[in-house]
Amino acid sequence: MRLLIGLVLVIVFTLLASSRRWWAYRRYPLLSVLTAGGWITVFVGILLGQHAFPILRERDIELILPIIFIALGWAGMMIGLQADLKLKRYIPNQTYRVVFSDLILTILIVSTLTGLLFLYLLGAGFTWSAVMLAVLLSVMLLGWTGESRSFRIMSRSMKVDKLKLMQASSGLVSLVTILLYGILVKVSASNGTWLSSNELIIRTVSSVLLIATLVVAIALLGKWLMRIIGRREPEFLVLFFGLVSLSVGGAVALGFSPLFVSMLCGAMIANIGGKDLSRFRRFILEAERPIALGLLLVAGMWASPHIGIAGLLLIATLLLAKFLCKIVLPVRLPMLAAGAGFESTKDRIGYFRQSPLALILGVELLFLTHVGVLSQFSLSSVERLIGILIATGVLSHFLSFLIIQMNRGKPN
Amino acid sequence: MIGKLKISFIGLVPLISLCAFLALVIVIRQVQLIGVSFEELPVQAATLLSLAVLLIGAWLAGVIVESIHLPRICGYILFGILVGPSQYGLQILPTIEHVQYDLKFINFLAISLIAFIAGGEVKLKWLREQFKRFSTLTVTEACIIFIGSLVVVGFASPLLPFLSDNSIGDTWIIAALIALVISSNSPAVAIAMISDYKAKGPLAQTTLSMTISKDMIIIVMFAIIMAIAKSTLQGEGGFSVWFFVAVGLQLVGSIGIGAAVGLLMALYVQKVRAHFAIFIIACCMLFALVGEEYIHLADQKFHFEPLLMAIAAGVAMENLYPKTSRPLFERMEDLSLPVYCMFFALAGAKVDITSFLSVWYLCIGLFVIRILLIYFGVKLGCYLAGYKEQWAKYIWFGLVPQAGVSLVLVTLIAQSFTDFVWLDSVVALLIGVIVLDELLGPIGFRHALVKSGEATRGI
Repeated sequence: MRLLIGLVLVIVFTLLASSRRWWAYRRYPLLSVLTAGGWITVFVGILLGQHAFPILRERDIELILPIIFIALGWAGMMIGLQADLKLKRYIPNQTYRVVFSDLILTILIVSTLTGLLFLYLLGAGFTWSAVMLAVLLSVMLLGWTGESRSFRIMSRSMKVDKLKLMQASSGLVSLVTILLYGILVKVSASNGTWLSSNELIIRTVSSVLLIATLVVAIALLGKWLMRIIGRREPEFLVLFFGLVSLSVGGAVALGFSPLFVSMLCGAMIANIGGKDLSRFRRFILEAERPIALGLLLVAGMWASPHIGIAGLLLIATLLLAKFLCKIVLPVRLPMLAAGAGFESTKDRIGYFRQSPLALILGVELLFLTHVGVLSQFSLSSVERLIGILIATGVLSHFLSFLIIQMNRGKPN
Repeated sequence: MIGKLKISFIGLVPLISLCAFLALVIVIRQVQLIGVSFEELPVQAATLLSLAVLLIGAWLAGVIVESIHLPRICGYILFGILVGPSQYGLQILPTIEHVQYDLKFINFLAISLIAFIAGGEVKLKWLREQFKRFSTLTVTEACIIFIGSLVVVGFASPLLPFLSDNSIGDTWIIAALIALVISSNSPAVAIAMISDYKAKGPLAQTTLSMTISKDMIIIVMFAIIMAIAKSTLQGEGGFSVWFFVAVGLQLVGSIGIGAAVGLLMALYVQKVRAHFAIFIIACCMLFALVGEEYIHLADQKFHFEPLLMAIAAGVAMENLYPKTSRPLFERMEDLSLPVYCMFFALAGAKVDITSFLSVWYLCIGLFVIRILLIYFGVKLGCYLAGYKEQWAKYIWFGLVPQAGVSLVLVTLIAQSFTDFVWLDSVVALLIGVIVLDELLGPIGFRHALVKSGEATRGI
């Protein structure tokens, strides 16, 4: 019965979300902030989730795990397909500068501040788990949402070229985020023994070789089979599901992040795909929004609200770190964003809004822990982490709205 | 000559691809590149890799057999047998329990999706117009095959080594269980082939409606005969008022829930008009999850049938909101191929060749008797119902294939009577007949669709 109630609720929310009246409300800045970026889906997930009115039992979760992994693989491949080197010449240099400066600042500031919080205020000590968590959090907070519709409603004065820069760099930074996250997951899976072991070089080289072999094999298989398929769309679907399952299954078997491996496969296919690729790419990208919303629903369902004082402190620290590295420092340190033309904090407010990718990474961390690839975090702690990421995400959107309202009418 | 060369060339490229793909998977297994065997991998990794093998391999096998004018389904099933855990196969997939458990939900999802598409093909208006003729044909055929196989197995029991030691009462109950499984059909094969050959016409409509109606009758009959068998053979359970309430609730509840969800789905399609594929998958996931849940009612427990729920949803959508539902069913056409590949390859992987070989002569005998009973059942049904059209002589071909439902019934028998000596042989016999039906049945049905002129593709 709970499943049916869950379905009815999801359908009612979907019907409401697609109604004309709802769309009319999205004219208002505050409502557009809350409805954009899939936050409503996250709230529905929380409502139907493990800590509210659960519609899934433990046994159901086991049953749907392969589907969640396939959705993660699909998301990874979608992001990877954007890494077509032929498109490189169309990307202006300032995009790279924006991404690079965000990479340096976010990793340095977020990991330092959260590390200090763990060490001094929360008493976690200088442990492998604490260090990994701090670094993982810094990678999860890389980037910003590329969604610009709600931002345009909030900040009508922002120039189109700056909006385009924000969108373009959000795509690029997603690639970098998953790349770093994938490496961190592999390092994290070793529980620190890898780094301290004498076999560091052998293990690193063998891992790189394994992953390269897997990715090249999948990409070549994909390219070859795409030629057999021709123009038939159902066959594309078979091939795509097959390749995603292969990459995700291979990733879990080898102790890698499924998002990371499927992103690499997507990038490889994007660069060797030939003329059949455009159809393949269009076909995959069609599902971008539903897959993202599905994963956000899952994030909501597993988010734990029991974050306690430590969680509240972490949220505050993360928001402070984000404020510093996304708004203040890029404006104050022009050498980091030379050429991007960030003259005032107004130009950087959009970058403060958290990317939905952070929640998707949280979902992957949870299920990698669930299947035993990662063992250093408990499931409950990862569920709390997802709760914290949701809170920072919502607050980052809400605070950006407040900052814009406060600066309204002020000169740059 | 040129035509033959062209055919062999079309089949050659996928054949080479399939061999290369299988070689890659075998090398990974044999070399144990990652230091652990397939069975030692995390469950989800093995599941996902199995899924990849089933999808890509089955699809290529389907393309190969299509090039020699055989139905794709045969390729999917053969590939499943080839890579399955049977000792005569390549044993690429993990052990059968492993596969069954890991892919169980995806398999349920596939069943729901197939049943939903099948439901969408059932036109109530057509059924109402044809009700008298159609019901006469279906009931006659069902009675002939059930009673015929019951009589054959019952009277042949002294000759069957595994049944000869039972009392007469027990023998007839076991014979009834065998007859019921023998009577079942495969709506999945019917809809997969109708969709594959883009067949439209009275033969496709009648065959599909017959397989669905018969399966609904068989699910109810199976519950009743299982209750009799348990009370007689094991001395447990038996009939009470609650038993009939539970069976009624199972049937009516499944259809009611399915129809209600179907109406909600129609509302969604009408109002939202987006993300159909993900929505259908979510609803079919719901059917699969609801089907997993057992409901206790006094001394009985029952569950809602995902198959019936999905069929009811499809029927409700197609017949209550035909125009609104069309885009959704069209989207389903695109989604269906991976589902068929996975479902039929997995059905093939479940086949135990060893047990089939142990009773192959009995299997062939029962297979032939089944075909004869179907043929005469349909002939008599057509005569009584007044079907004199040309296409009616091909109906019996569509009733030969067996797959998912039949295998589920056999699994339920195997799980319920574990302590009985006759169980292994009966299961081997039934699986053997299902293997022959699922491999040879589609070939006959393809012939029927082509000869009746209803197939518009892949002729």
